[in-house]
Amino acid sequence: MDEFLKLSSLLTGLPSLEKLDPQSVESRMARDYLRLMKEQFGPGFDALLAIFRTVATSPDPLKALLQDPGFANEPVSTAAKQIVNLWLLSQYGGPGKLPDQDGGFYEKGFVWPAIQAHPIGFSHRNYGYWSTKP
Amino acid sequence: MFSYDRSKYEFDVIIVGSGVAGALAAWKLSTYRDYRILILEAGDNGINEGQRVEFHHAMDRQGNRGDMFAPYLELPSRNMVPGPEKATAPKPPAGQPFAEKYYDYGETPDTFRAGYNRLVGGSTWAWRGNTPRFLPTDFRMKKTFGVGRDWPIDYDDLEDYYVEAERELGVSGNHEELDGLFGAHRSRPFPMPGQALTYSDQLVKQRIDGKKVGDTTIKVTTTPQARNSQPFDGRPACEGHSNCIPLCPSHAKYDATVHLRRLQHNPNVELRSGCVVTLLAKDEHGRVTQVHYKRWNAPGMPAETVRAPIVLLAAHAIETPKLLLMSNLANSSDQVGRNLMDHIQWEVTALFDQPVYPFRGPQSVTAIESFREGPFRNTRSGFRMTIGNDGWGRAGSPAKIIDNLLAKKTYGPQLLEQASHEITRMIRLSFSTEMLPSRDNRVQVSSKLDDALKLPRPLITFGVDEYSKGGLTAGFEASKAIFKLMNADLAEAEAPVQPDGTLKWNTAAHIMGTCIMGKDPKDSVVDSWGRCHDHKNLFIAGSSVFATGATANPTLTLAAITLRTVKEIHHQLRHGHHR
Repeated sequence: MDEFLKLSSLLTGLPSLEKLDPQSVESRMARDYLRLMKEQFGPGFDALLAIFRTVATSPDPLKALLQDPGFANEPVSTAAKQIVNLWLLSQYGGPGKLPDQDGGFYEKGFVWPAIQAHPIGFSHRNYGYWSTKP
Repeated sequence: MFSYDRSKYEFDVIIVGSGVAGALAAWKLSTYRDYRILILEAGDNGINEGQRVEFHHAMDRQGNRGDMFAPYLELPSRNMVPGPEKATAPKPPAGQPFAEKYYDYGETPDTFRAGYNRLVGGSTWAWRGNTPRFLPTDFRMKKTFGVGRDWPIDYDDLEDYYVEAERELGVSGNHEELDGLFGAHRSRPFPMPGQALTYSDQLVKQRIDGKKVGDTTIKVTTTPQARNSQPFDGRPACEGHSNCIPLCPSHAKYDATVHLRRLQHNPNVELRSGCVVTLLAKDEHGRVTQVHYKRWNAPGMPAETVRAPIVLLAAHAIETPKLLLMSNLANSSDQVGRNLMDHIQWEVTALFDQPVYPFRGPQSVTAIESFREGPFRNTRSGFRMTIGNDGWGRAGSPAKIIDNLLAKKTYGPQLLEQASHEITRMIRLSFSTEMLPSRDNRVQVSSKLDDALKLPRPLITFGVDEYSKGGLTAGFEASKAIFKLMNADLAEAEAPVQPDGTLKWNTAAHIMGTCIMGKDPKDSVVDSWGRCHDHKNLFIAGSSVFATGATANPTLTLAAITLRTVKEIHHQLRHGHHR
C-alpha cells in the first residue's frame, strides 16, 4: 500500500497521499483503488511498480519514471493514467478512451477543489451561489 | 368465473404516453371535469423523490455523466421497451455497423441522432429546461420567406396558451428582455424572475453585449427556463448542480412528474405503466375507440384492450407515427411519419483570457436570440445561440482535458496546475438551426428489426438539408467572431460544413414533425386542434404536430399546443361533436 501511495503521489502531484490518516475516506479510497488497479490493469500496473522501484530513490523520480523506456509500453502508461484518473475523477477507462467507469468515490475526486467547483451533480449550495467568483 | 370490470377497461379519454404532453393533457382535462382518464405508458418507473434519489445513484454507478440515458440504464424497461441509446453517433463508413441498435437506419443518407427516454415522465427527466417561445414568422414560413410550410394557427392563437404553459411548467425569465422579440409580444410576465447570471455570463456579457457581428447587434439575454429561480409549486429553487441533463437532483427543474404527481390521488385518473400500445382499432364509423396493449411487467405479459370515445396519442414524434403506421390509421394524406425534424446543432469552444469557473451553477443560463430572424431565412436557417456554463459541453469534459495532458506526459505538480488553468477558462457557444419539413425525412415501420416484445422498430430515413447547412455555416462564423470580441482563444473550431462537403453536426434531440398539422387533409395529418383529419375522435399532442421546427426548443410550444388541444377535447366530449 505504501508503495502505491508513493507512486500515486508522484503521478498526481498530490503530496497529501503519502501521509493518509488510516481512518480517513482517502484511505478507503486507496484500498479500493489499489484493488481496482490489480484487478483491471494487473500486468501493466505490476510493470509500472517495478519501474517505480528502480527510480524511487533517484534525485528526480518523476522525470526518471517518465523517461524510463518501459513507461512507453502501452499497458504501463495506461496503468499510470488510470491511477491519475482514479484519484482526480474517481473514474477509470481502457486504453485510448476517456475514463467512464465508476471508481466509487466520485464526490471525493481531487479535480473539483482544484478547479474550485463542486462535483457535477452535487452542489450542496443555495440558489445563486454561481453569480460570484469562487 | 370471468367477470368484466368496466371500470378497468372503459374510460372517457385514453392517453398514450406520460411525457410532458400526456401528463399535462391528463391533468388539464381533470380540471375541466371528472373525466375518467387512463394514461398508458411503456416505461415503468416511479415518480416520487425516492426514484429521483435512485436515479442519482445509478448515474454515479454508470459513470458516463453527460449521457442522457446514464441515470436510467438500470431500469428493467431498458430491455423491454428499448430506446435509441447510441443515436448520437455519426453514420459509420460503408460496411461497418451502426452504433445505434434501436433505430433501423435502412438506406438512410445520414443518421438521425436524436434520442429519447421511454420513461414515466418521458424525456423531461433529462432535458435542460429551456423554454423559449417560437417567433410569429415561425408559424408562417411559406408566406413570409417562401420556404417550408405555414401552420393553420399563428402566434396570436397560441399566446394565451403560452402564458398558461409558462405557469404550468414554472418558467423563470425576464419579461422586459423578451417582450416583443421579433414581434413575439408577451401579455403576461413570467411566473418567476430569470435565473441569476453565472459569473461566466457576467464576464461574457460585459465583453460582447451591444457589439455587432456583421449587421446584427448582439444582445445577451437570460434564457427562459422551466427551472425555479425561487421556491415554486412545492419545489425548491435551483441549487446549481450543473446536472440539468441527465437529471435534476433537486427537482427545481420541471419534469412531467409534476403533473403526474398532481393526479396520483385522483380516483378518476389511472396511470398504467409497463404497457406498450401495440395497435389502435377503429369502429365501423371510422372512430378509433379501441387501444390494444401488452403489459410487459405482469406475469405472462398479457395483451389487454381498453376503450374510450376519445384517444390522445402523446408518444413522441417517433413512437406516435410508428403506432399509427402499425395500425394503418390516419394516413390518407400519406404524411404520417414524414417531415421528421431535429435542430441541427454545432458548438465552438474556446479558452477565456481569465478564469470563468464553469461547472458552478446551471449548465447554461444565457442566450443570444439576435440571429433567429432576418430576410436571410428565405435561403438559409436562422440560429439560436446559447452560452454554456459547462466547460466545453459535449466537446470536452474535465476528464478530456486531463486525458490530453496525460497524453503529453504531464504528470506531477504540473498536472493539476495546468488542468486547473485550462478547465477554469473553458467556454462554449452552441447554436441550433432550423431544418425545413421534407417528405423524404421520415419514420416508417421496420420489416427487419423488432424488439423484445416482437414489435417492429422504427425505420428511419434522414438527411440534413441545404437550408440547415447554410445556418450551420453562418452560426460557425458568428461564433468565431463573438469569441474574438470576447478576446477568447478558439480551442476546437472545426467547421460544421467542411470544404469537401463533409458535414459535422450534433443533435439537439428535439424530435419534431411526423404528424404535422395543417388545413388541408390531403397534405397534413391533424387539424389545428391536433385532431386527425381521418378520425375525428383521435387526437395527437406533442412536437410531432409541428409543421415547422423553428430555432426554439420545442417543449414550451408543444405544451401550449397541448393545452389548446385539450380544450377542444373537452368541448368535443361535452357537446358530443367536433367543431
